[in-house]
Amino acid sequence: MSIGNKNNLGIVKSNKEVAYKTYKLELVSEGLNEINPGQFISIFCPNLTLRRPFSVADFDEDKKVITLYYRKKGEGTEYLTKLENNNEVMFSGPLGNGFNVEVDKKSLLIGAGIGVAPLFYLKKKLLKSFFIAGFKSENEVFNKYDYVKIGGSIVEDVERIIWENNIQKVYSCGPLIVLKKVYEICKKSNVKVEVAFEKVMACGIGVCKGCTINIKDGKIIKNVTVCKDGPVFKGENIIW
Amino acid sequence: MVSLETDLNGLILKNPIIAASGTYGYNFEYNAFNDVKKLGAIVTKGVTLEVRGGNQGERLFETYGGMINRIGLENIGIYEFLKNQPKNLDYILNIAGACVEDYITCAKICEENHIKAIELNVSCPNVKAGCMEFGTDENLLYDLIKKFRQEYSGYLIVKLTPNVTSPEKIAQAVQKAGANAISAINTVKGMGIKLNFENGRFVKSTCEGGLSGKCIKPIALSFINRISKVVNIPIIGMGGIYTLNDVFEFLSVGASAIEVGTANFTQPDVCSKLVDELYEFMKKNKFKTIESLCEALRNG
Repeated sequence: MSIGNKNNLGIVKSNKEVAYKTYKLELVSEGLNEINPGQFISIFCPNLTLRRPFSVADFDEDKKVITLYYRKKGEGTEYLTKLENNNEVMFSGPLGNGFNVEVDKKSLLIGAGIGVAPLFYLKKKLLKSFFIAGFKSENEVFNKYDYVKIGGSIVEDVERIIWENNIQKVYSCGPLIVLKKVYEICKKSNVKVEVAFEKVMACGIGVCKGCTINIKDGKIIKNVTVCKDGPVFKGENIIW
Repeated sequence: MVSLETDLNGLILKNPIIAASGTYGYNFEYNAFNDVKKLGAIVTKGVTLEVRGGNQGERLFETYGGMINRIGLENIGIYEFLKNQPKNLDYILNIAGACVEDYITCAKICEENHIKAIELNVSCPNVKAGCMEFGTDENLLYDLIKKFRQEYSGYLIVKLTPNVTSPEKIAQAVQKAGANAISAINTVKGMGIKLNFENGRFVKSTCEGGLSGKCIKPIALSFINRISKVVNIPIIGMGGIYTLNDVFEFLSVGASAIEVGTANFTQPDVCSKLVDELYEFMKKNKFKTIESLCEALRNG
């Protein structure tokens, strides 16, 4: 690893609202090479102590353009909404371990709310995928999916979709309660699932131990960091 | 010729910028963000005699101008650390313990393994004496350091907690017990609360732990200003340092070197940048040594 390669600068290419409180941000960053689906970057926000992590929704390796989607929620994302074209953004990344992409497997991608973000990039790398998404209301929907559920819970349809489409692997990102239900259904349907977690982080490289969760590693229970060991974990290893 | 060499009366660093414990890992991890070798030293994440898993539940809480952590000293344990000791890196090993015996065993292990410098975290509860923190009682602290000193002949820094009523008494006890230097301040006790009003009732989550970052700088400056008047061993200052001007403020109240902690989370290359900026400032303004810079700052 070359020194300082996780310390990057991005130039805003575009930043626009694509749905209710939901924004698409494109950054050009010459220093970037390879990014795996599920990896994230952590953005410096002036006057805030902690950088804010965002999963990568797309990466154009030739043009060095990284795409993020974010939902305006607190002070960090408030700052992002104010970014204009050609502004400079300091960020760390790519960070973390992404999805274990099994290209040939018939895959189901399940996103809830802004949790759909990393799944766009994942979809690009898969040969056979079915992408479903759940949103609270019509005005929050952005981009295209194979199936969209508005209101209610996206997980209600998962079992049927797995069965109807002969799904061999599931990838999911969204609130913990959704991930837990997705895992339970996958377990019942005997399909492997990988889930992407979210947690408040500090260092982003696994040294401060601020974002640990317990997982099962065989018979032992151990601490892992969401920022470095994750954010993607195998469903069966999580202590739900 | 400008020299950033910093002599802490027994420990010589190539410059006075040190990365603080818990924010930089055990080794070269921060090479991901900057050249770790450029720093005066790194202080390792705190290690204890046994492996520790740390606290359950949420461990971080961002506050206005800082953050609260309650990691609970999750660490790999001293034996594991020694197996993969940093090579060709100036480091200070941070040691914590839950009772006097643990600290003393660590002292012996460090002596046997020729660990050059230790920073002692004494802001831990003594589980064998009603969980009183070692660093809050001058007699308890004096005994601990005296015993540690008997087993360890290397450079010993004691990191003080600000959560005391008389910093002077504590600092004097540390000096009398034979420590080579004091580092201060550790985190300030703090509490963060999140309240949501949902369906007619309050939903509350809290985080109690150590407050750090920009917001604690005035507390740190006051603490160091007070203790520097009563001890003559070197003081390594820390608490909310982000900029070169912050570094100068600490040197002006009596610190001889500084540690950068929380700022590493905000700007992960801040330490190497501070080294560069310090060099540039001294070159431009014709300060040849750190001593001359410190003297000018103290007389300012």
